[in-house]
Amino acid sequence: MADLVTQEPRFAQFKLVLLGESAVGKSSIVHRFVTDSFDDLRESTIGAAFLTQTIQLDERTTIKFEIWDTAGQERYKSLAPMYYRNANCALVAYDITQESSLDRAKSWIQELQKQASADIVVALVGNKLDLEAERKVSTKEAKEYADELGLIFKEISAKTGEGIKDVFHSIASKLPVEEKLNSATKRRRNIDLNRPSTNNQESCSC
Amino acid sequence: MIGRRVLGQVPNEGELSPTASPNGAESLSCPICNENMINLGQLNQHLDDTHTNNDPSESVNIGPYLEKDLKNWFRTKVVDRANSLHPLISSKLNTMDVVDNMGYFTISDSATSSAPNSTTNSRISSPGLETSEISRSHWKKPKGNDFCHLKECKRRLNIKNGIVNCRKCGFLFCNEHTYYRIKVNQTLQYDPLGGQFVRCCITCFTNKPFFNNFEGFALDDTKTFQELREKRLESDRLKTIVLEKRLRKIFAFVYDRDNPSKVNNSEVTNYVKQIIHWQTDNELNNCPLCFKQFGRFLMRKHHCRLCGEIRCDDGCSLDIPMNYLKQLFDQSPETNEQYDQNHPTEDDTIVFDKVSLRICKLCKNRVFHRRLFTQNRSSSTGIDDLLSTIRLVNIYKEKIHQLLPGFEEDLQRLQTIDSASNSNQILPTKELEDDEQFLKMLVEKRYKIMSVFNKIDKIAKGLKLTIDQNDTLLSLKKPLAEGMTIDQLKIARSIYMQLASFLQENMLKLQKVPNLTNKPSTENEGLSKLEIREYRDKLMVLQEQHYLINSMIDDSKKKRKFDDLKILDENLADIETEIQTISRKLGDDSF
Repeated sequence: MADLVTQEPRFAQFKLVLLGESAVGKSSIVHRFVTDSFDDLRESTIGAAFLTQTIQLDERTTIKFEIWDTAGQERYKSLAPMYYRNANCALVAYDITQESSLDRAKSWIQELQKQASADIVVALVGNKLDLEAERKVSTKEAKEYADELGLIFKEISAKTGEGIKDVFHSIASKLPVEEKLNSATKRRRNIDLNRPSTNNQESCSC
Repeated sequence: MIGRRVLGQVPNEGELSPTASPNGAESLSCPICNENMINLGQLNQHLDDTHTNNDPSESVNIGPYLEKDLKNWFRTKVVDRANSLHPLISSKLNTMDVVDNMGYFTISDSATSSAPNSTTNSRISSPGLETSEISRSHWKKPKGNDFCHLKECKRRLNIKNGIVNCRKCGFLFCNEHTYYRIKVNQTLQYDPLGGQFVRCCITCFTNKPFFNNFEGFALDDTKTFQELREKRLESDRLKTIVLEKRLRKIFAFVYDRDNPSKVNNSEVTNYVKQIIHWQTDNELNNCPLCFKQFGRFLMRKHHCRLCGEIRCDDGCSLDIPMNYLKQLFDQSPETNEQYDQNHPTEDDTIVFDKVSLRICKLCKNRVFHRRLFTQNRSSSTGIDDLLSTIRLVNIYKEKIHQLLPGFEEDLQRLQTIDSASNSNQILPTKELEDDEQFLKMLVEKRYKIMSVFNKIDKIAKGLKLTIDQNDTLLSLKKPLAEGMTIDQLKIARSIYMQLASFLQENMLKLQKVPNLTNKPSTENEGLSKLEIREYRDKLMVLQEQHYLINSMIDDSKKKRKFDDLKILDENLADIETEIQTISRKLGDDSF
């Protein structure tokens, strides 16, 4: 019985919300993750953008992220609750060259702990690692904060792509795949139309 | 101007008396409705019948005057003419009645149109006898080898080509060149009025005066008609005065007594019988106005108390309460004699409701039409309403023009404060308090302006309503509501247009007011200005997001990413519920 389960490919879908101060590079992180590209002159996000990406956790487990990339501007603050309310995981980003952005990230984390679901997986990431020279926030400070609250912590760079995949992988590994699977497989037993798509930029949309 | 156009007619004033209707090709039409008339008399009658201020439905009936006129006309025109035709026919015609019991013409149209219109000219007789009266003495005798007298033709005249004498010049022509008719009198002169048609040659035809002159001559009959009309109006006026005098007498009889409340109808009737000629009952079998037959029980005979003639009660005469009659009579402007102004009081209005006066349709029209018409004209209510509306609107506009500039200045001040506070500068508390007061004042001002705008808007909407109503009535070809004329409707429409543009121009300035300046509404339990602002911002953001998601949905549909579609749909529903809750919270303060 156990063998049977292990051989069967597993597929799970999770909702991920991106939070953080404006201009810390949330959209860049997502785009690096989803399309593996970087745009120097990205316009600020309006409202919340929606993207999906699947990753292969191991040989038989595929995880699909529904990513809601919220706008960091104060104006769109009111939108965020709608997206983190029933999210499975959250990625709170800050800018290592901006001290205030960490403060904002902390307040986001607080808000998540209060408002979001209890088993939400939160990751704190310091972006713009490529600008090491202008660093204002020490790794230690952030790391200590993250450890204290039991968050995933990683310093990354959307420009170079450093650490991006790692962050998502570590989020995915922390997610309750089995739980999700049980409810999902029951639904998918009859129709197997939800075949995991690779969502590759090069391939066509078919 | 009342005039005629006569074709081929030598203008001759003396020849054209209004009674002698000419025989030429002419037209005479009513200046109001362009209906064709035979003669001025008919026009005169037509004006009275159709274009008085009467209810148009009444004029359809043929009045007794018209009947009389018709009989006269018939006798003079048709019967005289028939006399010259045949004694048998004429005798038959003489006994014939033009108008039957039902008030319709009995003679057919063809009979009227074929009847010659000249009465004075006894020479004229029926077309069948005409040739015998035109002399043939000047006719050239055919010699056997004749040629057509026309130079251009010179055709040999024989049975095939025809041998025809021109009745005017007498020369011989072929058939082809005598296909013409001309009016000549007995002296063989061209006479478009009194002449008769005879066959003639082409030369005589083309040489007649005013040949090819299609315009003819305009004969101005205005003067003669005015004389004719004046006579009739004069007699009408006289009749009206007589009736008015009678009415005054009756009023005097009733109201000038010591105890007017004890008068009853029979007393009045007895009095009336003394002052007017009371038509005897057995004179008539039918109502002289509507020709309905009187019966013993159902169609009773009634006497008009003003003319004393018998009428039916079926629309031809009416029992009118004495007080109402008197009120109407005293109100209307022609009572310049100030007849017993002191008598009618509110009290006897009630008492006298039981006394009434029967008046026939004709007398009613005679006495009251002109009065009521002039009264209505002097106090046409529709235009007065419009004028007062304009005056009111002008007052409001003045107010807005006074208030608005000051308000705009304040607004600019507010905006500078606003931008200062937006750039995160913390204002000292005192200034904040000032701000608060300033805001309050501004809100009050805005409220004032808004209320004025509301009033204008109300007026505009009211106007629009009446305009719309009347437009639909107009499209159904029904009379306009509220006594409006088409001109007034036009005025109303242009006032409305002006108001609408005024509102659009000036309300726009109010729209620029930042949300802060909203009147702190008491209805939104405890929603402060700040909260309202926040909610509005939220709502705006949500609506933005709603739009975004919708476009995302479209996008993923295009790309056939149906997995995403489900997620997006869920989100869209979320957003919609959120929008609803926020707009519910905002209530009236939403956009």
